[in-house]
Amino acid sequence: MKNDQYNELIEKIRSLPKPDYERHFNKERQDQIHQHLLHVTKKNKTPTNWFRRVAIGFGSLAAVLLFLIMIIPVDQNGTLDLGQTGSNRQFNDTKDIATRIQHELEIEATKGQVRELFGKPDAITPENSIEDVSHNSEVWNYHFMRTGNSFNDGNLYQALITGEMNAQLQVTWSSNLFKKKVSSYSIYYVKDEQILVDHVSMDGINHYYITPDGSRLSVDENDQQDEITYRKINIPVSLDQMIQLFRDKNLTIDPTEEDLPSIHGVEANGYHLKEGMLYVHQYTDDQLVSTVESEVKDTYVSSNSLAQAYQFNNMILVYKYTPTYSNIETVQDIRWKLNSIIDALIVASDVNNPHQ
Amino acid sequence: MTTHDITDWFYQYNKDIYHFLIYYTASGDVEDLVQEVFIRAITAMDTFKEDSSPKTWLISIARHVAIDANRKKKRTRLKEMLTIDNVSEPKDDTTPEQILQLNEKHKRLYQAIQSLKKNYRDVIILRGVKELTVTETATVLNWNENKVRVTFHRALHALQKEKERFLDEE
Repeated sequence: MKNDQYNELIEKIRSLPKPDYERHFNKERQDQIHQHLLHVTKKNKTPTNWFRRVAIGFGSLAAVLLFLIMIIPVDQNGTLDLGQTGSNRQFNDTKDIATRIQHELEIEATKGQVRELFGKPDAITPENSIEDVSHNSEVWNYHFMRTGNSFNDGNLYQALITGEMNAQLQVTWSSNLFKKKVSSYSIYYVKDEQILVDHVSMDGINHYYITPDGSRLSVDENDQQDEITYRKINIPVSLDQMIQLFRDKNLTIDPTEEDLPSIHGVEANGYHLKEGMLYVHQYTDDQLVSTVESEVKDTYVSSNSLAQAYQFNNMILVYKYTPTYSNIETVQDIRWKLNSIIDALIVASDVNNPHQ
Repeated sequence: MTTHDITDWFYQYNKDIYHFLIYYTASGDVEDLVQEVFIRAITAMDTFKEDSSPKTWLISIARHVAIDANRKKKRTRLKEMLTIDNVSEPKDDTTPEQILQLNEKHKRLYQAIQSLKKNYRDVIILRGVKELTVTETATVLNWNENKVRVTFHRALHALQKEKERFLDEE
C-alpha cells in the first residue's frame, strides 16, 4: 500500500517532539526504578518465592473449586445455568453451545427476557465485536468463558481460538425507541479450528467463518462462489517463469507427486507451497483450457478447503489451502503475494505488448 | 533474566517505553507504568524468544500495561461518580502536552491522533511516532503485515481529515 500522498503527514508525525526527559524522567528517577527492578528480580529468584507461588496457585484453585461447587447452580441435566452474570457464564457441553443459545433466544425477545436468560451483558458497546456493526443499533455482548478465564485483552479472535472463551453472543437491538426488541444476534464459536459465526435474524440463519483480520469466509453450500476465485488472464507466461516468481517472493515451492488431480485428462504438476499446495495444469489445446472453469471448482473445492485459480493462455494454476486458526495469517499473506505476482505479470505483459 | 540483562534493557529502552506510554495513555503520569512494564518483563521472561527484538517485546508489554491502566482509570472514575462524597482530584497535574513541549501546531496533530479510533491510533503511534517497521508493528499488534499496511494507510487518511476538522473548528 503506497503512502506517498501522506508523506508530508508522516514527516509531521515523526517530527513531533520527544518528551523533556531531563525535567520529567531524569536519571535520578530512572535509577530509582532500576533499583526497584533489581529488588524484584532478586525476590523472583528466591526458592521461598517459588514455593509461595505454587502454594498460592493451589489455594486459588481450591477457592475456585469451592466457588463452583457452592455458587453455580446445576440443573437436572448436569448442565450449567445460563443466567449468570459477569465473565464466568459457562456451558458444560461446548459442542452444542450455538444450538442451545438459538433454542433459548428468540428474535423480538425483550430486554427483560434476554436478561432473564443470560443475565447482565458483559459489554454494551459494539467495541468487542470482530466485525463492524451499525452504530445506530445497541449491541449487548455476552462472553461465555471457559472455567477460570476472563476476557481481559479484548481480542475476541484470540480468546476464542485459544479456548479461553467458549463463545460470544452479540445481541443487536432494534432502533425502536419505545420498545427495544432483539433484531438479530450472532454467535461466535470455534468449529474445526476456525471461528464460525451463526447470524440469526428475521430472515433466517446465515453461517460464515471469520478470519483474524475480520473478513468473512463463506461456508454456505448455496454460496460457493466465495470458495474459489477464478481469473482469466491473457498473458504469455511459462511455468518456469511462474515458479521463479514464487521463489523470488520467498514462497517455498518443492515439487510433489502424490495424488495429483487431473482436469479433462490433463494431470497437474503439484508443488508444496507455504500452508497449501499449488497445482498447475498445462494444456496443449487452447480450446480445451477455455472450457474447464466448472471442473476446476469441482476438482479443488472441498468442504474444508478453499482455492484461488488463474487461467493463462494454456495453463490453469490453482492455489489450494485449508484455513485454520494457526495458518490463516500465512494463508492471507500467500494470497496477497499470489495476487501481487499476477499483477506484476499483467503490468510486465502490458509494457512488453502494448497492443495486445 | 540476569541482573545484567535488566540493567542493559532498562537503560537502553526506558525512554522509548516512557515516550510510547505518554502517547498511548494520553497521560503525563506514566512513571509507575514504565516500572510495571519492566516488572512484567521480568516475570514473563520465559516467554521471550531469543531471536526476537527486546524493544518490540517491551513495547507490546507496554501496550497491554497501558490498556489495563486505562481500564482501571475508567473504573475508578465510575466508582467516584457513584460515590459523590469521595471525589478525588486528578493526580496527574503534568499534562502530556507539557512533557512533550508541544507548540500550537503540534498540539493540533497530537489531539487529532488522540481522537482517532483505537486501531488507527495504535498503528499511527507505532508506525508514525515510534517509527517501528511494518514487521515490528505487526508483532506488537499481533496482526499480519498486510493488515498493518492497510490500516496505516486508512489511519493516515482519517488523521488528515481529523486535522482539517480541528482547523475548521478554530
